[in-house]
Amino acid sequence: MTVHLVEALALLVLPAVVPSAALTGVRPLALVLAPLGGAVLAALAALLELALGGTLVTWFAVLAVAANGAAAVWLVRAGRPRWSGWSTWWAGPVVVAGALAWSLTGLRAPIVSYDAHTFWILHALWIYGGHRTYLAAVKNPAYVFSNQDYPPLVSAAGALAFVAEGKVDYRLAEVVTTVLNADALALVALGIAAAGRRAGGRSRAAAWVAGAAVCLAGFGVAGINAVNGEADLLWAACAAAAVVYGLVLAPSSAGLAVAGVSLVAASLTKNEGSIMAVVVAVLVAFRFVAPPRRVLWLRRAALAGLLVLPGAAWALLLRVEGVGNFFFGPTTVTQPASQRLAPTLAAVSHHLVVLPVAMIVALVGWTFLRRERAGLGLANPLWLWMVCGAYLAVLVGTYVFGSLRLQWWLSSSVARTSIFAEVLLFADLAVWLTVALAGRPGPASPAGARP
Amino acid sequence: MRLTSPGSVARLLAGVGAAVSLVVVSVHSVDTTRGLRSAAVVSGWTELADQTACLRTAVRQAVPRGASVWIGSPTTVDSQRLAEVSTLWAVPTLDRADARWSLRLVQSRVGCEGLRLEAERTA
Repeated sequence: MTVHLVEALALLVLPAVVPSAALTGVRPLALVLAPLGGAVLAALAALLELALGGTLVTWFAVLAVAANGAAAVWLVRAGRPRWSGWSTWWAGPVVVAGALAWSLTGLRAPIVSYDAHTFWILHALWIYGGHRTYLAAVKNPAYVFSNQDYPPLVSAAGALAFVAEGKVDYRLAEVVTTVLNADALALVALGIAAAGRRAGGRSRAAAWVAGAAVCLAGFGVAGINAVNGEADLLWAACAAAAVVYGLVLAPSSAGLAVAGVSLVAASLTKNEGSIMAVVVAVLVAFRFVAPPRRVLWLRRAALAGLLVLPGAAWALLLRVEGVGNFFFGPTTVTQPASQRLAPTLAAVSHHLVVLPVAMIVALVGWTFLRRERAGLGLANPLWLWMVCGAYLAVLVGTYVFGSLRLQWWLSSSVARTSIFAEVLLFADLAVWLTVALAGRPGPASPAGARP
Repeated sequence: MRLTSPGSVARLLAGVGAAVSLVVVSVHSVDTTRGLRSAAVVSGWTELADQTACLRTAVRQAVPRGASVWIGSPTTVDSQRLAEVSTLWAVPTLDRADARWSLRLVQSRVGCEGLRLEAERTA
């Protein structure tokens, strides 16, 4: 198993190392971004397999060669790359790695949940089978229980693991998904650590520890769903990383690159991720393309469009193939929306016990610690809260206006669908902890808290 | 830290609120992971994984490659499991009239950890 896992991760990650370094610079952040980059390449390969023909491994090879070629040209043009290591408290990365290593010991049991079998493993089998199998399966009404329109990233990474091992191995696919969960949370932790980079030693160390706590929080709130092959923690952590790098840290090209890759990964992982990718992409475009640039709206639209393009291409492809959405299809449920609202709010709030605390901390911080926050180069917290509010509105709206029987739907999914809001709120608390421990700001620096 | 200004009180409030929340969720996470590592959990899921692998093999022994299969298990869970373990070997169909074979799972002491595959030629 260990050998097959190493082979599977090597096949997934290595083709994305150089492109990640081209996007973020030659630094540890690139190594943490690479697994998600590889998963995005695998998802795009699955999309091309379904749309044009061929096999996953062929398209993955084509995309890997193209991405590495472009990255090599970029790096050569940018001049001789220099390794920039951890410029902060050396024990910080060890604390984050320790938190993730402990959480990964939950993999001791070969847990592949019912939903992981029904959606992600089954789709991985279709992708592994090649174009004809994949196309026939997404159009086969006998598979309608499998949510055929779900995006392909988790299943493509699993299918690539099958390719590496040379046979179908459910357990390997489950482990690869869990490693991607851990990687996405590591990206969030590095972003929180970057938030404390300009602060004093105490705050810098606290930022790393808080980042490690957010990793534990991700595994904690997801519970068994973090290690059972499900996709919910992955999209949630990817989207949270996109918010931290795109809407919390000071704007930088590396931050935009990390936010972009994370956002594409989220949009290709789950339908909720696709919807939130649109919201976050629009906000990132507003923040990064600021006046007085010429053709401002066009530039903003171009950036947002680029970030949502892969997710939109997937959704369009499935509509062209005539695959509908399971949650908003024809219904025999007669319960009116007004009667669905109260139980939905009760169920969602049951999983968001951190919300009142996060709101109080944010209000106190926003009122009294604005100068300290700005001194660390961090953005207005309203950006993050806009994303959180938009997600909760989408989540509640989906349950209220969706076509499934509410009681069963809530009991079977709300623990998973609330993960994104929970991870985002814990990330916000971690940033406020860093701000609270930072001293009064010194002279302004143009650098800010860049990743 | 001296609490001499609204800013210092706010710093204390925000810091304590955030720190306590992060500590509580971290402890919960450590406990959750410890629970997932327990022998009972490992044994239960290992049994289920073995059962799934056994059913995959059983389908491959019961019907020829490429066969169209109609899945007639009475429960949704069993039907969906059979559709999954048939994939890449047989092709599930929604309509029984389109299928060459009918598959279903029955409770049994022999077979795959309490389940036995029954395959019947329909055409």
